[in-house]
Amino acid sequence: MTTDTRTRPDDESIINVIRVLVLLQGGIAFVSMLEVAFTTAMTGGSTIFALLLTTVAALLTLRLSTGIGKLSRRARRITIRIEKVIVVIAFLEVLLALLLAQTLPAPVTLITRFVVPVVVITLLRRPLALEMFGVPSRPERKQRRLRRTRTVGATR
Amino acid sequence: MNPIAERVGEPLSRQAGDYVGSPLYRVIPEHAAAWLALGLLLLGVLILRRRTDTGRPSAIITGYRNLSADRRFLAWLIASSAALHLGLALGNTFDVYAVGFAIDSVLLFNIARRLILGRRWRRWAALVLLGSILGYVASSLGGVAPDQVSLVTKLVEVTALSLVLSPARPSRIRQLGASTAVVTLLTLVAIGSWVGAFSAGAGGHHLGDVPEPGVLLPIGEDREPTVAETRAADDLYAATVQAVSQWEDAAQAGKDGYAVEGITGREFHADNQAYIDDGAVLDPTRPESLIYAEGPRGPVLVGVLYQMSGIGNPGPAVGGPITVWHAHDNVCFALTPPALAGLVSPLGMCPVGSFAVPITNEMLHIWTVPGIPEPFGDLDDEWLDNYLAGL
Repeated sequence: MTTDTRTRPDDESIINVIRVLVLLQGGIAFVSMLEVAFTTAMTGGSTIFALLLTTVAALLTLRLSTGIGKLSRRARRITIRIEKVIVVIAFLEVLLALLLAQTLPAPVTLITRFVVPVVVITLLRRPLALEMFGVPSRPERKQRRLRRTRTVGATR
Repeated sequence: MNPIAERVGEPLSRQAGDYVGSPLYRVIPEHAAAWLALGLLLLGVLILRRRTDTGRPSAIITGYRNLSADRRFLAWLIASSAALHLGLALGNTFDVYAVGFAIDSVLLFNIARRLILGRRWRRWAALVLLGSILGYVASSLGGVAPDQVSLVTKLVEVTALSLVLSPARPSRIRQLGASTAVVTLLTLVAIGSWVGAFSAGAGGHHLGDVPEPGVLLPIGEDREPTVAETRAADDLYAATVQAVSQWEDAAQAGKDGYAVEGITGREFHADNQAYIDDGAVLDPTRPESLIYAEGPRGPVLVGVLYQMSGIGNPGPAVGGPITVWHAHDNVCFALTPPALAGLVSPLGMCPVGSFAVPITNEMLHIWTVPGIPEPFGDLDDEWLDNYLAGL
């Protein structure tokens, strides 16, 4: 019998969604690496540093998607930091496009550089995700900090 | 402004909407219906949800609410792709592509329905999604120009396929296989997109052409130049050839302020920052950039690039349709060290360490190599290779 679970809470498969989105980002970074390798070959190596950075980013992101699947706390933490950087740079590029060209970047750019990272950060911060990664929630962290301060105070 | 530049009037400014660019970074009008179809899908789901909430249950909504988070996401992805295909079928003229889009749409809607209702769906989903992605790659490699709707659809389908191929707790081998498949498909989509966009944009630098990715041309129709325009273009060409002969020796150009270090490839642009900043327009004695090719016995001066100062300032098209100025869009600029790092990928990314420049100032190439078939606009690479080989 099926049950109508309108207010169904998150289930554990949310990790699979995050993993796939990070894998998608890794795949896109891999494609970018191939593109900049082509540019580097055509321009006699003037973009070699961009090639190195993009290669590292692609490999790291693909590795992170595996880490997310394995519920690694480190992978979660690094992913959130990288996504934040991507969102900040994307935001600056949107501003640049509005200022210089009076137009928004193309829809695919907005999706891959803005929407996907924001969704990944949001999902990684949901209570169920925190629980699954073994990360204490914000009230718990606050309570722990408070307890620690009191203990230190009592010792003094 | 020098006398050559004063000969014609141009609009005072041009904005992004006054240019035509590659469809790769745009939504072509025939595909706009796809966004509408996507909106209608959302509206339809909202209506069904409301009906269910007010006591008239819908099997789709009830089934959807019983799905796990990843399957809900997958259902949305497949239904979105179906809606986008429906819009593409309705927006296109009746041809083989429209029929293909319509079939794809029906199949994808049916797979989304089966997934939601708990029937067998995985194998069908894998087949149809893979077929749709490979169909796109094949048509792009065949020369069909992709646009943003096509790319969004493929992105949605690759994401859906990666969920189809890897269930919530996959084995290590299955996960590796699924990841490899996703990366391979994204690579194929990107290669197909580049090939399609460049094949469709092979028109060059004439008004009314479909530009290559990264090139913006002013909106307008190509026409025959008038006698006065032909004469003005000839004058500009002769003045340019005469003035730049002093920089055939790259070392002399370097002494005069051009950045000639590391000349490589066919079209190495050596900028002169002082001339870029001087505000002079179309001055043959102070061209903003010289263009060198790597010849068998050292650098060969092949042409010049005149640039306007400031974005949106139209260049004076003294020779009418012969001297069409162009700008660039979606260019990636690396900061480490400062250099062009290519174009924004069809998947929306610039290389790490670079940022996307949405639009540049206008510019005009003049090729000064003796005997060049087209002295303005696009450089004929094959001709240049033969020329350099004969030096």
